[in-house]
Amino acid sequence: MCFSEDGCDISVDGNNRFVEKNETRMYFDDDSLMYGAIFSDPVVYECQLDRLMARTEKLSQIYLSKISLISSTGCESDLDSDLVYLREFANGFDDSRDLISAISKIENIGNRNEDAHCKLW
Amino acid sequence: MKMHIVNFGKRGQLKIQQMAFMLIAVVLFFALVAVFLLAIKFSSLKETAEIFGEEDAMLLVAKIANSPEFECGRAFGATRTNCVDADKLMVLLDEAGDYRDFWGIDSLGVRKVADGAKNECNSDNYPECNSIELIEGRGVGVGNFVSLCHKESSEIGTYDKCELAKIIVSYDLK
Repeated sequence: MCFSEDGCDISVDGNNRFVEKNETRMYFDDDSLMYGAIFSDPVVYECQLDRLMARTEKLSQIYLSKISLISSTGCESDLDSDLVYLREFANGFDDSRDLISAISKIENIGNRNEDAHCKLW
Repeated sequence: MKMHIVNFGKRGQLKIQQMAFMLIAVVLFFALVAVFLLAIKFSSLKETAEIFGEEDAMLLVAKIANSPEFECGRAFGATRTNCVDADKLMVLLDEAGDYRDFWGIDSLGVRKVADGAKNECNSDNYPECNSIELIEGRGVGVGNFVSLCHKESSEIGTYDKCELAKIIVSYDLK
């Protein structure tokens, strides 16, 4: 396994954030996903990311419904359009190549929620 | 062909018969002891399986209470453990069935501790109710205490209201 050279069974490219194994690239965001990509089969890795995105989609829907529920108490949130976008993005998630853009969207929504007067989570 | 016939006396035959009965008795005795020991062993195995099942369910209760679908996060101030967001539960009321297989449970509900008779929550009476039944079912129930929080409105604006509740998960005893 190599972290900076080519020609190994498993190559990790930290700059472009992917692990190459069996001529297949698996993209990651943080160390936990990197280790997952190194040790698991590419098909299993992609399948687990699909599951994560399915849960992201579900959670986006839960928070969207929560916005409607708590708005009657005067607790307003302007994250609805972002959550709709995230829900659709997670629904259309194809493979780990979409991961970097998904993470940036999720972090952006997380930061906006953190700054909000009425936090959803 | 020449055959040798051994001629035991009557006394000898009796001895052989006694020996045969003795051997059968010893074998029967050990067989009974083995059956008795196996019965004890299997009954303790079943008991151990029940204890493990209960421990698993207790861990599952804590896991569910702190899962993103349930936990308060920082919506009610600082992050706390075993804090359940009642607003999320109400949203989940119609969709919780999807999670039955995901969590591998039979039923799931949250009930406020302080209140009296059971008053099941729905979209009309929330938050003036005391029980949220997310997944209905039967099985062995295991519970754990949690803070149940929601947003409440008053004349001065929105505030956070947290109450003591018990999350109850039931699982199928195999």
